[in-house]
Amino acid sequence: MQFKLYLCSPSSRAVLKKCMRIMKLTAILSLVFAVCSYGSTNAQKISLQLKNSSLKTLFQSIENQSGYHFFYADEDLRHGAPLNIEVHNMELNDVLRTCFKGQPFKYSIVAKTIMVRYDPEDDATAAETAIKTDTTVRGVIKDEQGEPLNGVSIILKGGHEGTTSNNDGSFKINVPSLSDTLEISFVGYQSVTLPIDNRTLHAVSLTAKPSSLEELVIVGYGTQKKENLTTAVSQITAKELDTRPLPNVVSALQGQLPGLNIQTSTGDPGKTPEINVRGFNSINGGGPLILIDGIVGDIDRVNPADIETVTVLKDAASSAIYGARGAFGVVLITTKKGKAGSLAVNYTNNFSETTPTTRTDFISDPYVYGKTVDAALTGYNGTTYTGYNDQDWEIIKKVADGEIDPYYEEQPDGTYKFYGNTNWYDYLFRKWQPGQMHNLSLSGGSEKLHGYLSGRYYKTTSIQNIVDAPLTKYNLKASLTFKANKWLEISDDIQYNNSDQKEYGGYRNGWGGIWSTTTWYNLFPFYPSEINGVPFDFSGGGAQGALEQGNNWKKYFEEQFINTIAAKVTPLKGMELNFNYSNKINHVSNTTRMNTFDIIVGDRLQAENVGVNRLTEDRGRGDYRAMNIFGTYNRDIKDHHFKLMLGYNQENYVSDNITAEQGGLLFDELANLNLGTELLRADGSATVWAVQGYFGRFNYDYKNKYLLEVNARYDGSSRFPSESRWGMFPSVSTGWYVSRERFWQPLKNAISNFKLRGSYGKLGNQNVDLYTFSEIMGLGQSSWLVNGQKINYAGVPAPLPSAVSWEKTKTLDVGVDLGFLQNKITASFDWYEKRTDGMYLPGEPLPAVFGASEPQENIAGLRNRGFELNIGYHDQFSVAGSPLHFNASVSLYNFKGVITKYPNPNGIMSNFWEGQELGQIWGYHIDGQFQSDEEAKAFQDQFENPTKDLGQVYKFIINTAQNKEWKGLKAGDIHYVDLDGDGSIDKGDYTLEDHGDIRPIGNAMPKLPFGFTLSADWKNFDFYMAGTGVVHQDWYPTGDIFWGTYERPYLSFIRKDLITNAWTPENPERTYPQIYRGYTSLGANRSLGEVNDYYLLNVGYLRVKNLTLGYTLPEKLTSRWQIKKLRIYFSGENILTWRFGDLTKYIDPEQAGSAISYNDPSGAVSRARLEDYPIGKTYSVGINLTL
Amino acid sequence: MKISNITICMLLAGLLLGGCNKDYLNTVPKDRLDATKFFNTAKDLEVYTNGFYTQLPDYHLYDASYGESSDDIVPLIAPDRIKGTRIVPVASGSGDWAWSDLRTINYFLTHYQKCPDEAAKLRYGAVARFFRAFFYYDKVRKFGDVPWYNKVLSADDEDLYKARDSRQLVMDSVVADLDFAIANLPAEVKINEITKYTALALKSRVCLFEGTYRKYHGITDFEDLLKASAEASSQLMTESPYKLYTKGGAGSCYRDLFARNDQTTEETILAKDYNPDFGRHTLGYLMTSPTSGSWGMTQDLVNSYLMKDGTKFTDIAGYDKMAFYELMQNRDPRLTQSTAGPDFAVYGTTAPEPVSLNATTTGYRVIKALPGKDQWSSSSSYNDIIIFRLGEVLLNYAEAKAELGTLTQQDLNQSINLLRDRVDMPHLDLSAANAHPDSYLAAMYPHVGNTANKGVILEIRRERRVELFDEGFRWDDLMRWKEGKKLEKPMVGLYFPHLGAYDFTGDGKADVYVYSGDKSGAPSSVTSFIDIKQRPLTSGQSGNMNPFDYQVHFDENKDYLQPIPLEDLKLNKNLDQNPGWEQ
Repeated sequence: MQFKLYLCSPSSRAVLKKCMRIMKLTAILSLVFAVCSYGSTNAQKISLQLKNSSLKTLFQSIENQSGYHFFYADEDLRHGAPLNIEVHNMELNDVLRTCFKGQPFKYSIVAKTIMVRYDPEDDATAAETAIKTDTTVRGVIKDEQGEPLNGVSIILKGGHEGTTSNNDGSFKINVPSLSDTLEISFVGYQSVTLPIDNRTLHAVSLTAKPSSLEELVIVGYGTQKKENLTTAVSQITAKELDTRPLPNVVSALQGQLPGLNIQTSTGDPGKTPEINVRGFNSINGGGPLILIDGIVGDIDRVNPADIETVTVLKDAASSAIYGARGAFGVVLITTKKGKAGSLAVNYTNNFSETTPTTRTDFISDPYVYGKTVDAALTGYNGTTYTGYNDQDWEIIKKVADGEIDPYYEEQPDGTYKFYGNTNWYDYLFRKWQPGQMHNLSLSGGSEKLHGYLSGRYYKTTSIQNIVDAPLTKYNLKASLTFKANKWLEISDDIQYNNSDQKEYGGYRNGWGGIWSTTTWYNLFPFYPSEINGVPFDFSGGGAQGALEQGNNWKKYFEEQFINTIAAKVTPLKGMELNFNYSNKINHVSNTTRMNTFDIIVGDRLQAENVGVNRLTEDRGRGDYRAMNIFGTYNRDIKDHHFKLMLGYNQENYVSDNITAEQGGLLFDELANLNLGTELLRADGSATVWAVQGYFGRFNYDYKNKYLLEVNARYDGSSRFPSESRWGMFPSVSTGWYVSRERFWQPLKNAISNFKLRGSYGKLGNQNVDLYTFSEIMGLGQSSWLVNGQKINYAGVPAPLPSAVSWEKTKTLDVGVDLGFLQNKITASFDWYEKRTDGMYLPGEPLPAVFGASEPQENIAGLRNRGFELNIGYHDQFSVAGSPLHFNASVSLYNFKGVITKYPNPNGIMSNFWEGQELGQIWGYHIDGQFQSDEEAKAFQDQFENPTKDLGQVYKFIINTAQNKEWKGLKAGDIHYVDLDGDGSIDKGDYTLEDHGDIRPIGNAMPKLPFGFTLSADWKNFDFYMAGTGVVHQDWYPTGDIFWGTYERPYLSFIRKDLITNAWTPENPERTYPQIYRGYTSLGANRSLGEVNDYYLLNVGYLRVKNLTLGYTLPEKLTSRWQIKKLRIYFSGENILTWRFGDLTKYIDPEQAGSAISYNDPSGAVSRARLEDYPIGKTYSVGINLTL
Repeated sequence: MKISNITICMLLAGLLLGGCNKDYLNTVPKDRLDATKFFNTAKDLEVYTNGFYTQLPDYHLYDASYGESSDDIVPLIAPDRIKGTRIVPVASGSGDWAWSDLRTINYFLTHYQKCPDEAAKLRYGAVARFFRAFFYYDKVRKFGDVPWYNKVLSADDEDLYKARDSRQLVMDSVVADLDFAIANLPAEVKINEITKYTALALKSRVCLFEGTYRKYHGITDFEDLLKASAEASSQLMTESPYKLYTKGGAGSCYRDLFARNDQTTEETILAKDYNPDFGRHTLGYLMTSPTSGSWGMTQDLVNSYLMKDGTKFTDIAGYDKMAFYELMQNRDPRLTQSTAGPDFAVYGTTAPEPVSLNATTTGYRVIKALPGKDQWSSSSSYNDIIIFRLGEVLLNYAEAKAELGTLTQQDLNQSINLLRDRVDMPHLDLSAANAHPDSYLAAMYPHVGNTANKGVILEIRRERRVELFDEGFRWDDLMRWKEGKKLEKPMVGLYFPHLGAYDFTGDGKADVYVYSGDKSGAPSSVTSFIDIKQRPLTSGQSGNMNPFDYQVHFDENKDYLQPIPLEDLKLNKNLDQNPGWEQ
C-alpha cells in the first residue's frame, strides 16, 4: 500500500533550509543539497578529473561510471558555473556534494536518478517570475529498482490534460498553476497523487502493487505472501462477481481459475453447478472440500457480493493441512469483514432477462409435424397415431397456412377429429424470464469496534410459462470485530440465508414436472390446448390441466444460519493464537402438493377430473459444529525467516429428517398435514459423523530466495473402525526464487520474475459410506402391500469388509512462475501427477452365488496427470490522451485419468480395467449410409443369419420393426462395418481380449478446457469480459432433443434441422436415416442408439460467460448529491457461444458436455439426454452506488 | 508474559479437551439397525421376513414381453426366448442367475434361531423356507441342475466354487422346505401374506412342474412328485375355504376376476396388491399402447376355445377361414372375456368401443386383466395381480391325476368341471375325451403318449391354456411337456379372405378396411385401417395377419434350459454351461 514519493518531506525541508543558512553564513558557496534518503544505494566510487567543464560534462562522466542518470531541464543549466574537480574513488554522495558546492541547484537522488533542479533561493522575485512564466512541469518516473517506467499516465487532477512518460521515464506537462496536483498511475503500480508544490521538476518512484508479488494469498489456517508460495494455489479477488446476475457464485468462477472445473448441466437457477479440482480423483467420486471462512460450507449459499477472495488449493502440499478431506482439492472462500473508518454504504442492483441459449423453434406447423410423426410410426408398425386420412391432412395444411381457422369436428362414430394449430413449446415455456437482485452493504466503525452488514435479495422466474414459479433468495450477514486491548481481538460473524423455489407440474397419477414425459410426449400441434376453456390433453396425461389450475406444486425451501465466534490473541511479537467455534444449522423444508384437476381427454372429449389429492412434507435439520484452535509464530534471524503453525480441529455433524404424507386433504387450496384424512407415510432418517485432526505447518526461507514448507496433519474420522481410524498426511514443498539470484540480474529486463516450485504430499480421502464397518441392516418400507398398506422390513446387511481405511492420494506438483517486462506479462505453469491408491471398492469378483456385492476393500488405483498454464498481461496505453488500463488473462489446462490398479482379471469391459483411460469412448465404425435399397439388402444378405449376426446393432430394423415394408435395411440406414471380419457385427465377449467390432473412437472428457478474462477501463468507462470453453470433447448424442422422431415418434418437440437432414433419394448426402426410421435411437441394439463414429460429435466450444460495460458518472456531478460513486452497467451472461463441432443449435454444448461428471469417473462416458432446463443467456442492467 | 502464559494454557487446555474426548469419533448410527442386536423377538422375525415378499412376481407375470412371453400372445416386440434368439449373458449374475434373494433368506435362517420365542421361530422359519423353495423352484425351472446352499456364503468359502447339484437333490430340498412350511404356517385366509394355503398351492405347482418335466424329459422318479402335487391340491381343495369366483355370472365373472381393482379371497390365494397411492403398474399401457405393447392373441389359441355347447370350434368346416364376427359367435364365454369380441366395451363401461386394430398385432386385442381406460396410460394401472388362485390348483389336480393315470370322472367334476360350471360350459367327460382324442390338439402336442388318458390329457391342456391365459404359465407348460417345437408353429392372427371392408360388430357397417397401399374408397364408418404392404397377410391379398413374420428355431437339445453367464463360468471353473450353450 505504501508508495514512496521521493520528495523532501516538510520537516526535512526545514532542516535543509537551516543548513543552507549555515552554509550561506560561511559565505563560500550557495550550495544547496538535499538528500532524502536511501543512501546505501549510492555507495559507488567515482573518480573524476575535470577542468573548466560544464555541468553537462560532469553529469555525463558520472553517468558513465555509476549507472546513475541525471535529470534536469537544459535551460536550468545556464545558471550553473563551470567547475574544476579532481576526485579519486570518492563516494558518489561526496562527489555530488563537492560538485554542487556553490552552484544554485538542489539535487536529489531517487532510484538511480539524480534530479537536478535550479534553485535561486534568495532571489525571491526572480523565483516568482519564474513560477509565473514557467508552467511546464517535468519529471521522471522509475520503479523501485530504479528502472525508468515507460507509458505511465500523468494527468492534471480535475482537468483533462494528460501525458505519458517516455522510454527514459521522463515526462513533461503544461499546467495552469504550480499549485495544481498531478495524478500518476500505471498498471501494476500504486497510483500516486503528486502536489506540484511550486516545483517544476519531480522524480517519482512507483511502488508495485501487491497484486504481483506482495499479495497475500489465503492458505489453510493462514495467509502466505504470493512470492513465498511453493505450492499450487490459485486465487482471485472476487471483484467482478458482485454485479453479475447470478443466483450463486459458482457460475462466476467458471474459467477464472485454472484447474477448477465448473460444470453447468442445467439452466435451473435453483441448481448449483458441479465443482471439481483437477479432474478425476477417485472411482468412488467426491468433490473438493469447500470452506467458507474456515468452516465447511455450501458455496451456493454465499452472497456473491460478500466474497472477498476465492482460493483453490490444488496440490497435496497446499491441501495437506486439511488431511483426510483435502484429497479432492480445497476451495477457500473468505468473506468481507468491516473496516475501521467512516460509514461506507454500497448499494448494487441488477434487473435481468434470461432466454435460452439454444434454438427453441421446434416444429409447430401441424401439417409438417403430423406428416413427420406419422411417417416415423408407420415405418415402425404400419399404423399412425392420428388415423387421419388424406382429406384430414388437406384441412390441417390449410389451417397451418392460415387459410382456415383451427377447429375440431365430431365424426359419425361419436369421436372427434382435430384441426388445430397450437405451438406447444410457446404455450409451456417462456421466451424471457425476468429476474432482479439488490444488494446493500454497510461497513465502518472505530479501530476498537468495527463491523460489516450486508443483505441481498435475489429473485428470478422459472421458464415455465403458465403459472409464475419464482425462486427467491435472501442473504444477510453481520460481522463485528471488537479489539478488547492490545493483545486480544474478538469477532463474531452471523450469516443467515434462505432459498425458496416453487415448481409447478402435475399428472393424472401424481407428479410430473415440465421436463418429464407429461410434456415431452404426445403434444401434437393439431390438438387444441383447450376446449371451452378447459385444458385439453388428447393423451390424458394432464400436464396442462394441472398447470392451468396451478394446484400441483413443489416447494423447496432451505435456510441456513451460521454463527462463528473467534478470538485472536497476540501475546508476543510474532505470535498469534486463534480460536474459533462455529455453529451451522441447515433447515430444509420441502413440500409436494398434488391435487385433482379438470381436463378434457381423448377423441370423445371426455371431461375428467384426474390427479391425486396428496401432500408430502419433508423436513430436515442438519447441525454442524466446528472448532479450530491454531497458533502461528514468526521469527526472523537475520536472513532466515521461520514460521510455525500448529493447530487442532474438530467437527461433527448430526442430521435428522422426517417425511410425512397425507392423502385426501379436505381443502384443495391448502397444504397442511392437518387437513389430511389418510396417513400414507411417516418416515425418518438420521446421520452422524465426526472428524478430528491435529495439524502443523513449518515455513522457512532464506533471503526470500530459498523456500521450504512442510505440512502435516494427523486425522481421525468416525467413518472408520477405531483400529484404522487415524491417518497421517504429510507434505513438503520447496521453491527457488531464481530471479533473485545475482546471476539473474542481466536477464532481469526481459524476465523480471522467475520462481521454481515443487511439492509432494500424501492425502487421504474419507469419502466412503458411513457405517461400512458394522453389520447394518437397512430398514425400509416394502413395495409389497398388505391390505393396501406398505409393510416395514429389515434388510440383510452387506458383507463386512476385511478392512476399511483411507483412500490415499499422493500428488507431485512442479511449477514455475514467470514475469516478463516488469511483470507486465506473468505466466504460471504447473504439472502434476496424482496417484490415488487403496480406493475402496468391491474386492475380487466372486461368483454370483455369493449373493451380494463383493466385500469392499482398499484395492484400486488411479493416476491423474495434468497441467495448468495461466498467462496474464496487464498494461496501459494512452487513448485520446487518457490512459486505458488493460488486463488480460488466459488459462489453459488438461488432465487425464488412468486406472492403474483394478481387480478385473478377465478384462471385462463393463467394469474398470487396469490401463483404462477414463472417458474413453468405444464404438463401432460406420461407413456412411446405404445409398440404395439394393445396396442395403446386399449388405444384409451377406450375413449368414442377419437376425443374430446383426442383432446387436440393427436389432430394431431387422427384428423388431413391424412394418414389413420397413423391416430390414434400406437406403439411408447407416452402414456398420464388421471390423474384425468374423461375420457378425457385435461387441464379441465385451472383454479386452475380444471386443468384436468396437474400438476406441473418442474421449468424453474435455480436452484442454480454457478460460479467459479481459478487463479495461478508460476515463469513466469500464469493460469486463470473461469466457470459458473446451477445445475438444466427444459426445455421442442421446435423447429426445437430438434424435427427435428417431427416438420417439410421438415426441412433442422435434427440432427443425433434423427432418431437413434426413436421407432422401434426392438428397443422398444427408446425415440421418430416412424419416420413417422411428425408434432407431431408443436404447441399445438399435442402429442410432449404439455408439458409433458417424454421429460422434465434438461439443467443444468457446463461450463468453460474461460481458460487462460500466460507466461511472463524473464525481463532480455525483458529489452534488452526496454520492461518492455512481456507476451504471450492462451485464450479459452466456451471450456469445461458438461451437467448434457440428452440434445442432438446439443443444447447448456446455450442457451436452457436462453429462460426464469429473467427480465420478464411473460416469465418465455417460451421456446426457438433455430433456432439461435449457441454459440461459441473461441480459441485465443495474447500478452500483457508494455513499 | 503473564497474558501469553494464560492464553497458551488455554490453548493447551483446548487441545487436551479435544484430544481427551476419545468418544468424539465413536458415532453410533441413529437410524439404522445393528444386526447383532436383532432377531430377538417375534416382531423382529416378522419384520425381517416382510422383506422376502418382493421376491414374488409383480405385474410382469402377466406381461407378454416378460413372464408371460409364450405362443399365446404376440406383442409388438417379441421377446428373444420366443424367437429363439436368446444369447449367453455375459455379466456375472445376469440373465436370471442372481442369488441375492437366497442370501437374504439364508441370512435369516442362520440367525433366527437365537430368538427365544419358539412359536415365532416355527412360523417365520416356515415363511423363510417357503421363499427358499420358491427361489430354488425358479432356478431349477430355468437352469436345471443348480448348486444348493443352505447357509450364508462368506467371501472365502470354498463352496462358492462348487459344481452344480442335481435337480433331484435340489427338488428334494424344495419339497422338504415346502412340507415344513405347510406344517408350520397358519391355516389362515390372507390375500397378501404367505399362509399354509399358499404353501400348498406352491407345492401343487412345483410338484406338477417337476413331475411332468421329468416324465416328458425322461428323468426317473416323477410319480412321487405327481402324487405329491395331487395330494397338495386335494388338501387345498378340501380343507380350505376357497371357492371359485362367480359373482356377476357366466357372462362377466371371469373377466371381472382379473380386471377388478381389488382382489378378494373367494378364489384368490395370494395376490400382489396395487393401489393408486402406493403402487401402480403399467400393464394397461403395455396391452393397449400402439407403440409399446399392442398385444394380440394368436389364432391357434382362439381356435382352442370350445364352442358354447362344448363342441370343438376346429371341427367346424372352414373354421380356419372364418371372418371375425362369425368366429366369435357361440364360443366359450371366456373367449370374449379374454379378447375383445364384437360387443367389446371397456371394463367398467357398457358403450361398445369402436374397433381399433392399431392396438393389437393379431386383430385379437387382449383384455384379460385389462382395467378401465383411466388405467391405460403408462404406469397408471392398479388392478391387483393374482399369483396363486384356486383355479390353477384345480387344473394342477386334474393334470397330475391324468398323468399318473389315476384320473376319475369324480376328479374332473371336483376340478375342471367347476371351472366349466362357472362359465356355463358343459362338463368335460372323461370317457368321451379319451374315446376321441382331439386331432387339432394332438398335432399341437405330439409328445403326449398314446395312453388311455391321451384324450383327457389333451383336453386338460386345452382347459389350462384357456383358463390360465396370460397368467404366466404357458412357457413353463410347454417346457415341462417337452413341446418346445410348438413355438416353431406360425404365430398368426385374424384371417381376412380378401381386401376391402369388414363389419366386426355385426351392425351392418364396416369397421375395418384392408387395402394395399391405397385406402381410398374406404367406407366412412371405418375406424381401423390395415395396409397389407405394411402389415402383411400370410397369403398376399388374403390370409391371416402375420405380425410375427419370423421363423422360430427351437433347439430341443438346448432351449429347454437357460444359459449361465460367461463371467460366472470364468469365476467358477467347476460350473458347467447348460448343454448347447457352450461356445
